[in-house]
Amino acid sequence: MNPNPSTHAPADPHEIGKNVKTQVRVGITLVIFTLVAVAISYVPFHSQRAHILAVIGVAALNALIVAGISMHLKTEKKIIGQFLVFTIVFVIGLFALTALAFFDSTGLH
Amino acid sequence: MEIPYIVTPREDTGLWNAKIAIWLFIASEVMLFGGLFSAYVFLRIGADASHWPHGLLNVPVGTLNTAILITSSITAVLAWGALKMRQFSKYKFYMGLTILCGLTFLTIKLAYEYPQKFQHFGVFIKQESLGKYEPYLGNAYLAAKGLPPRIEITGHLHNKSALTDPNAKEYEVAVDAVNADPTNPEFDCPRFIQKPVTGKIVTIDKEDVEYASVFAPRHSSFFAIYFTITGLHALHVIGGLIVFLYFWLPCGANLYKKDPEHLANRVEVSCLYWHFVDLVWIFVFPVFYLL
Repeated sequence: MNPNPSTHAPADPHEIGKNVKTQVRVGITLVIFTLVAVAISYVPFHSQRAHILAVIGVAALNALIVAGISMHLKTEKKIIGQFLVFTIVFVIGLFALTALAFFDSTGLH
Repeated sequence: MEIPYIVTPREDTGLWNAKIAIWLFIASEVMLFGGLFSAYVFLRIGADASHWPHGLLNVPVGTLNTAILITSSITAVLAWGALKMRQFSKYKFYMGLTILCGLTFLTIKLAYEYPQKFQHFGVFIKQESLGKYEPYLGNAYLAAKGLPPRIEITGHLHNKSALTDPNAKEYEVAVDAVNADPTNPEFDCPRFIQKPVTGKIVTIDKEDVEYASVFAPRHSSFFAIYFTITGLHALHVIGGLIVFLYFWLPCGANLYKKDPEHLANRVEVSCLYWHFVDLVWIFVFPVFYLL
């Protein structure tokens, strides 16, 4: 516990400047990837599955960049990763239930 | 009494209170949106191709909104950086820009995109009457090209009284370009720039109508899940803006005078939340606007 919080010194400007630069680069990359996703969505694919995979693939890449770099998940403390594992398992479970329900043919004749 | 670990991290976790709290909150939010996206997948894979509309949302406007939200994430980080370097006036400037971007996003969504949808009208034609409206549906042309049939005529409802008048026998619809010229190959797939509603009025007998609705949640599963997810996302944007406004107004200045690092930490966790809101939109945009 810090007995006198107001004594916190300003952060190293070089370090903060580097961090901010990275975030600006990430933002520009995200905008470019968004435009790429828009462009891909108008490319005629031979199958709808390939079309969906390509667009969602770019979106997933964008999401990974936001989570990993912007939200610092890549360098964040281990404990955060540990409880996020439960969240991811839960979400995967939800999607698995959706898939199981859709492909379930029990009782169908 | 002073609350411990609001600025300095705990020895065992290496995290200060707000940091661990925001990550727990984000974890619960991932589950909330995960549930909604799995509902989307379920509705989408279960829907008949004719019942899942394509190209009804304005892609250029959606792209612009995505860019605005990403820009707001950048300005939020710049605000945090300024605070860490104890440049309060710079912080105020960048935080002001973040709030402005957030408000622009909301204005486009709630005051432009949503009202446009509520003005648009869709009439689903009964299976047995599709032939009667062939000049506006072009199903023979679509079948020859191996494309799914059209069962809906869209546009702006001309005689609005038809919605409430039980004696009204027909809908008069100023149709969209796709229904005015259904065999035009440029409408075989969604267009980047939408064409405006034409002046061509089509009269549709109510007895030929399966059901009719404005582009509201009752129109289709697509609009039901679209309004649910984008509405919930808009609520998250509003929540984030309230927090940013709180730190931008004199409350932020007071906290800065008392302990600048405390304000910097609070802004940092708000930024984490804002990035998450950004992340959700990164999936919302392609899923609804592009696919």
